[in-house]
Amino acid sequence: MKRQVTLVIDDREVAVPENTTVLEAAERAGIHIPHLCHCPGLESTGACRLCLVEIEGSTRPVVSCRCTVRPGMQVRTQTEALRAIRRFVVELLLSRHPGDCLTCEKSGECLLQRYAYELGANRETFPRRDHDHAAENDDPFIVRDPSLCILCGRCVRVCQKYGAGVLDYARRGLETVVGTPFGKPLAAAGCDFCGSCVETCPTGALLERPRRGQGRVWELEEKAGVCTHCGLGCRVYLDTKNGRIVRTRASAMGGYLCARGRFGWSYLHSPERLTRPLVRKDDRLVPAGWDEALALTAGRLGEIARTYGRGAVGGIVGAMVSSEVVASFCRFIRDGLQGDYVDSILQFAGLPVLGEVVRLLGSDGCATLEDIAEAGVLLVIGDVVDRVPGLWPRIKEALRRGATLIVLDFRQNRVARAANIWLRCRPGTEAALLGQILAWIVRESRCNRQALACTFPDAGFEQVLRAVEAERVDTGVREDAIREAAAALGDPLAKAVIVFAVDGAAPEAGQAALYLASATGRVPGGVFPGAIVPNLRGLFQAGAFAAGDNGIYGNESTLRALYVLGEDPVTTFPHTERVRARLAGLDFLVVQDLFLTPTAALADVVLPATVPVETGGSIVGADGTIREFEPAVPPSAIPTAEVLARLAGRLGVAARNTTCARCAVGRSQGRQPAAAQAPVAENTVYPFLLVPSASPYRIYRDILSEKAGLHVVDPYLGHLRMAPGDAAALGVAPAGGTVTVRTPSAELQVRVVPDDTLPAGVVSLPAFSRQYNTLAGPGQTAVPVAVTVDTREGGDSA
Amino acid sequence: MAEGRCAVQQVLEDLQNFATEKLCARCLPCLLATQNARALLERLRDGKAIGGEVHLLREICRRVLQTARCKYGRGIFDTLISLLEKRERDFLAHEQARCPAGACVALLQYHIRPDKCTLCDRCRQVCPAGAVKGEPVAPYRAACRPYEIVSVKCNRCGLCVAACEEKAIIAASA
Repeated sequence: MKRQVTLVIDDREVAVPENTTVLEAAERAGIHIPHLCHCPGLESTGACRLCLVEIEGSTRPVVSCRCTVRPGMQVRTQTEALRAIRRFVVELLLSRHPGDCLTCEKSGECLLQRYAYELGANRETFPRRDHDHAAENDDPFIVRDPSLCILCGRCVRVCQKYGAGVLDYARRGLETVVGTPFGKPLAAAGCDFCGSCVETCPTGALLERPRRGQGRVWELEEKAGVCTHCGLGCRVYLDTKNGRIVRTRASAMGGYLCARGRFGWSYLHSPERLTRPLVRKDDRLVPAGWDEALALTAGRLGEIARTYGRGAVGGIVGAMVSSEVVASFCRFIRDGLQGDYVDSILQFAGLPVLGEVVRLLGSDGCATLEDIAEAGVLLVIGDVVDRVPGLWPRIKEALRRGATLIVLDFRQNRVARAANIWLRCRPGTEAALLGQILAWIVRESRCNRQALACTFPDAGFEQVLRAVEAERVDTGVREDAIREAAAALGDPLAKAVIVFAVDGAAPEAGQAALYLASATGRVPGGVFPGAIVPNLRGLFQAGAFAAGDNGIYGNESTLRALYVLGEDPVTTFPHTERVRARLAGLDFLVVQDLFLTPTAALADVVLPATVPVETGGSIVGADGTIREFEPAVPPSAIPTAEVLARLAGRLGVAARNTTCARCAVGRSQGRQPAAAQAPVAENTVYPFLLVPSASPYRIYRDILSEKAGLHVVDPYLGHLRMAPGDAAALGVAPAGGTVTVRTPSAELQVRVVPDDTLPAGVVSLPAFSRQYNTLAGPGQTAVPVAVTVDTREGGDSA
Repeated sequence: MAEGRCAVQQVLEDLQNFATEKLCARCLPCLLATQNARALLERLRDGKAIGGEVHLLREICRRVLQTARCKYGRGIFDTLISLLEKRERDFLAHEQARCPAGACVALLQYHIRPDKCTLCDRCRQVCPAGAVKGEPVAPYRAACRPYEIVSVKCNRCGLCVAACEEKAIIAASA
């Protein structure tokens, strides 16, 4: 508990914790001190000098945003002299601001405009400046207009704190501007497009590009929502006008949203979005009415279920569907149509790891983002930061507070560059490396033996250790680096958090990470399981993962009809061609989705779907936190839950829509055995190792990223990433060329993009993409492949 | 003509040195005040004063001394305001388009002294702005138009002064 300090602000006694600034203390007392450069959550610089106050005993006015409270302080914030000073500062600012408020998007929320009005600033006092910089119009998502900039430096600070750190002051003296290194476009400078700068900008100098001409602040309706573009589920404010999302803001001032959360919503309003059902007639999908489509669907599904009995009808449900709809869907398939098979992407997105997370951590034992920011030791495994971009600012925060960052990844990305200890193991040896760290900690007796005994109840740790010692896997990491990492993680006094991606790590690696946390006594609160797939826990709790051989992959499958809701298995499921053949061979396929996906193109009936933002509901991320939210925009089709209810009505089965997230927990299944993965051996026929990589600009379904326009900033979308040395050896560097990637069972022609973060011998394709799934089978996280240069030009299709 | 340097130019030079050397642009009043004070002083120097400049300059100095963050920012405006106080008449003279030191070129007025002028026409020939009016002596004409310089056309280049052998053209502050 911090000590309270009592001071007097404008004759009002205010008690605040010590180390509060005068500005914050005044805000708390409901007294607004004008300020332009101060922003909650960012360090104050005292640049604008608007927040000057008079403090008794001080000769000159004092900047309140940098002045901490002292007991008995006498502060005056609204004297006539202060008003005159503030008016002078605002008049000076107006002298370098074009003041085109008539056409400015920020009008109504511009702080300069507000203070100019409140202080009665005179526009004519100083000569006025014209638009003397051209607006930077080359950047996607963000428009920068230096003429409107007042050099408050908020964007610079927020970019250093949350973003990629590309914005800074450039030039000096009177010519100072805010810009990127060498004035490059944002994308070339390495911008994340998190848009934090846009949100903090007090004027119109930084704007969301999609927002232009869509409405100004007084026309917007603020709706609280949850971002469904990764497992983190950040709270967002969706500002809408006429049912369209105009812009997205982080929930708190100075909060963080990634590119997906801020700019990735336009797929909702895409003109290509399905709004009417389609029915296959003469081998073509033609628009049909809802009644006709639902009658056909219910009739055919019912007929097949009656004719062939249990197991004839199955379902696949997507991960961007709310938990309530998932539960209704599972009930509809299982109880209404006697289907055994309800599957989802979860099967291929770390089901065994999630099972262990649920077993060891329960529903609320995971670390929070705050835990990460406050951690003393951080172990980051794999490309989790690309999958969950919201982690990056928290990792930066932890580093600022002096945390030790251990990164276990073969990619030399910025997380690895920021690391104190970088364990660059060979792909596929993550689990072995974690085992070696665990073995070292146990040997040095730094672990919580009781916790270890709970984790390995029958084996006993001596046995585990012997196993690690016996298979001394060469991970490619130096012994002393492992020792150093183990010493940091084994320190019982340090608050350590292990961050990994449930859907990114190999099952053994994820489990090894959990055992490591458990063995060092850091469960709960010591593990953060991230996931790019949004509603992972929701699917898990509803039991939406197939068991047994019955399904689209099983040879003995009795499946004859399939209902696919909000998923595109032909793209996102492994073994694309097998899935496509299996779906094409079904008696009846109904697909309910937002767009006409490759799966929908195979369907007999296509129904438009709605998204959680339109209908409300809840999603449960991999860490088990339930995020409930209200509808923010009107649905552009009949809500999915209602479609299910109508189908159930036509089939004569009782549909019970679940409305509460906590009731949505269906048949949760216990621990799943880890899929055994063949050890990755040296292979001369298939010398390269293909790994999936996530991108911060991709939602796990490619079609949504594309319709949202996120793909324009993703240089690797649909391309093969390869170390520049390897690319040069193949003769496809530096411009890139088309190569053929081959596995024993499949091949793919794809363009190469050199990527210097990858080590030699490793190639990478986007996770959950058609390209990766063409080559990879279920559960494979590192696929040996051969890469040959394609002599024929222009083949970019699989 | 007054003695010493022109006060406006002196303080403008100080301000320019400050802007190129010390100015960090991290606190806004100092940056913007420098920019605006420079613009005002340039207006005085270039004879484009519209009145009220000196008052505004004094106001800027007073406010920046209250708001600027560092001693460099306060220092330069302290110099400016003390010079404003000390040589207020010089500054006010600039507002009336007069430079007492005769150093502000834009404020100079060129005159032809009729008593010295020999009507040789050389000044009219060299004038690039066509500001010299007059007719050379012609024996058969009873009267000729005396030479004079039209002030609004004059660009203050000084070529006529150099060209006049009789030193009949003088430049002086009004």
